[in-house]
Amino acid sequence: MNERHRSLISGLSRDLEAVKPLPNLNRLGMAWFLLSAFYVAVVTHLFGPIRPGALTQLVTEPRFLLETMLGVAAILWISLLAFRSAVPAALSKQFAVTGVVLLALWLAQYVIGLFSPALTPSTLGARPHCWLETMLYAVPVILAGLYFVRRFYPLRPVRTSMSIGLAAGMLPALYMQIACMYNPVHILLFHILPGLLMIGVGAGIAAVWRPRRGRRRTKRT
Amino acid sequence: MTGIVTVLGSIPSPPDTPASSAILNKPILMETLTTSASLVPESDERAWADLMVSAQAGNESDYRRLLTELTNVIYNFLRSRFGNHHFIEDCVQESLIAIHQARHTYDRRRPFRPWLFAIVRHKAIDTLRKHNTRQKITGQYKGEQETLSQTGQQSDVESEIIRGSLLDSLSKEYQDVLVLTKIMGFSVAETAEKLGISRSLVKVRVHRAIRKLAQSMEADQL
Repeated sequence: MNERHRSLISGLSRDLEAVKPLPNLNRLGMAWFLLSAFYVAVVTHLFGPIRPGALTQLVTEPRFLLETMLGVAAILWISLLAFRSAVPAALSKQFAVTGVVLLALWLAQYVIGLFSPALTPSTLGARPHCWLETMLYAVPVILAGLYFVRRFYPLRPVRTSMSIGLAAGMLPALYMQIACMYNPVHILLFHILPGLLMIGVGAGIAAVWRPRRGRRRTKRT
Repeated sequence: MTGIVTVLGSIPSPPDTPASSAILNKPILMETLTTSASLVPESDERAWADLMVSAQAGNESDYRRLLTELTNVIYNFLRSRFGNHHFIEDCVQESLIAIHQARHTYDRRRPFRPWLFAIVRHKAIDTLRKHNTRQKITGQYKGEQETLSQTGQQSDVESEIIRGSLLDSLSKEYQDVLVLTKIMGFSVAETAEKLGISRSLVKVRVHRAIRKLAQSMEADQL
């Protein structure tokens, strides 16, 4: 070890401050997901009525329920994945692959729905600005997620933020299939696509709002 | 030959043995890590995890001891993968700072080694990517390089640099651009001229070479 390393180690360990132990990432990710889902549901109801009979269809139409539950599972998994990616070595390849597979399975339901829809397509309950609502509702969710993950140490902050953006964008996109009209073409173009665009928004916010890596350094005398 | 001596003289010497290793009641850590960090024994891992937990609580001496030991481990890990050259110094320093900044993210319920090497791998690639011509080697060496390249020979120093197993795994064209630009400190224009290719091709090759290195390091089982 040379003098440069010795003096660096001495500087880093001088006046060392205690740090809080890492919270349970799964619990934190789950809490973010649940609070965000609650917020999206509330704000969607505040800005317009949901499609009449949509909740009943969840009980009476098994494929519609499957579609919705797959969406919930995929978004929850992506949320956990995003939080894990903010801590070195906490995200395994298998966990990431499972998230991608779940997401692909969920989105495949709408592609299949183009030929064989889960519900009869109709314009009942159509919201005039559903695509804009999807994007706007996702922004506070992204900011809340980034507020948490920035406190950790994401080795790839932009990639982590893209995962946060994806989960945040997909939450209102999923809820729109209850709140807005049901038609797979409409869902893919006006709910899913704006939701996917939030990946870019997440990356953009992360590029500007970078983690302050120096703030946990010890005081030097 | 003078050029080779000049450059080898600037290569950092292997780190000292930390006095604190003796506390672990076993042979010096560095000896077990001469070739690969994958040889780190389980007891070291437990000891490091305990030291880190203690450091998280604010214990300065344990933290100093941990960083001292990790310096050697990181040094040997990088040397076994990239060969013995100057940019490793920067990598070790960057890694130590990153470990310090990320120390609150270590979870005692998880193993220490994957956490540590995730940071080191990331910092190594990051340092290599940012590494530019600021660490120019001596003009004397450059002169020798030019002579050697004219005669079509590869210098001993270049061979020494490429000896790192990771660099060795790259194709010749990627090795050439990476060694010339990132390790020997030639500019893109100089590298392009030496290799007889365009500047944009040099940039593309450097980018791809670093990406391949990053992938190789990700796949590294520790």
